[in-house]
Amino acid sequence: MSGSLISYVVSYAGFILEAGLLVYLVGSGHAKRFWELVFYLSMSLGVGVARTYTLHYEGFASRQYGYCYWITDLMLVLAAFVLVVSFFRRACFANREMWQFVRMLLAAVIVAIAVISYFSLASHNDNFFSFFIVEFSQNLYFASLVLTTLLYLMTLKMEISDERLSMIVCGLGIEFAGPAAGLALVYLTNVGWVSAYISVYFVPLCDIGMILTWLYAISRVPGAAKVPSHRIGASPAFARGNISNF
Amino acid sequence: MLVAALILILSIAMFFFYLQTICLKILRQEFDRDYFLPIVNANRLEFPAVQRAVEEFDAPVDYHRFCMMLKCDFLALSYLLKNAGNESHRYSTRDWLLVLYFHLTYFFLQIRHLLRMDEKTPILRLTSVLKFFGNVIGLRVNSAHYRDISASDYLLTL
Repeated sequence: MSGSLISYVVSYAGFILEAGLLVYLVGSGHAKRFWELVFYLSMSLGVGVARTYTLHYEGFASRQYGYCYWITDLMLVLAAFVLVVSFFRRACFANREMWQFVRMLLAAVIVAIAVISYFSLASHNDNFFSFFIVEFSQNLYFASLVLTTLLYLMTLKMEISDERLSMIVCGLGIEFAGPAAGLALVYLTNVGWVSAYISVYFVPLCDIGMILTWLYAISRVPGAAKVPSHRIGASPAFARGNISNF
Repeated sequence: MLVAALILILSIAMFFFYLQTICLKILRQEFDRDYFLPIVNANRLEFPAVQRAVEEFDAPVDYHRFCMMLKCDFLALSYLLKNAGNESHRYSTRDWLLVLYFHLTYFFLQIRHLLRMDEKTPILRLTSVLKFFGNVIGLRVNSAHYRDISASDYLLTL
């Protein structure tokens, strides 16, 4: 099989799987419960359509495609950040104090990334779409990976074990770790074919890995066990006699 | 440059960590009974003996013998996984992932042997993958209905 055919198969397989998972979530009534996944998948599909459209009309070597690719990549990683935040909220459901602390931490992380990016942008505005954005995406992916790892550790410490959430977080870890490593390799080697292999094969494969993990988690893994409600039932007749009305 | 190198190393480590965690979570899936036992008995598989030797008796690892036993069992079970009660004669995505995990763990077992590190943990992981395969095959065979099919009918469908 030729290289271009494999790249088409890999990218279209990811696209089809994403659409399939979205349809499954909506069709099986999980959409409301996993609204974050619906949001991320819709965003990812939208990004895929935008990239395909630009590639078709502007061509691979065009500057427009470069803009489109990196801006949509940024949008995707920001959507993933929203996903991580919502999972943190889910993991801190039973502990409001912890959620307040985590919320502050997440806000600090996004502000720190924005400030670092602003200063980096100021010094790299001449070659914005060559090195700066690769470095910026790599940093953002890595920050999300670190947050995902914290989230995974938090799911292990949760009072009510939620295997499904834990599995979904693992899928997200694959999605962040792969591109972060790939982008770091691109930055370090600065060789064209490494960049091409990473973006054409490795990143879509990580995407497929995440979608399959999510699909497995939603369809096969049971969710969190419900907390037994300790409501006091009506007192038996013989006990009622001992209760004073005054 | 240094930050990028650090990110590369940590990201690769995290990638394999998450891959292993997903596999271990799949392997932790519980079956309502031990479906693997009839498969083990019918095919004279040896991985339960390896697991028992390492886990219960805390015996010293006979590396070459155990490797051969596990590899032979893997070949038998992967063939059965594809062909026993499986109409598509293909691995599912989950099976592919676990096959990959088996190969990776086997590779790390060899490296650990060369470096003279602990070999028991990877051996136990390999046996747990084989046990899972046995359970999947056993469950599949158990739920298939062969009552109305004679041997010749079955052969004609192949």
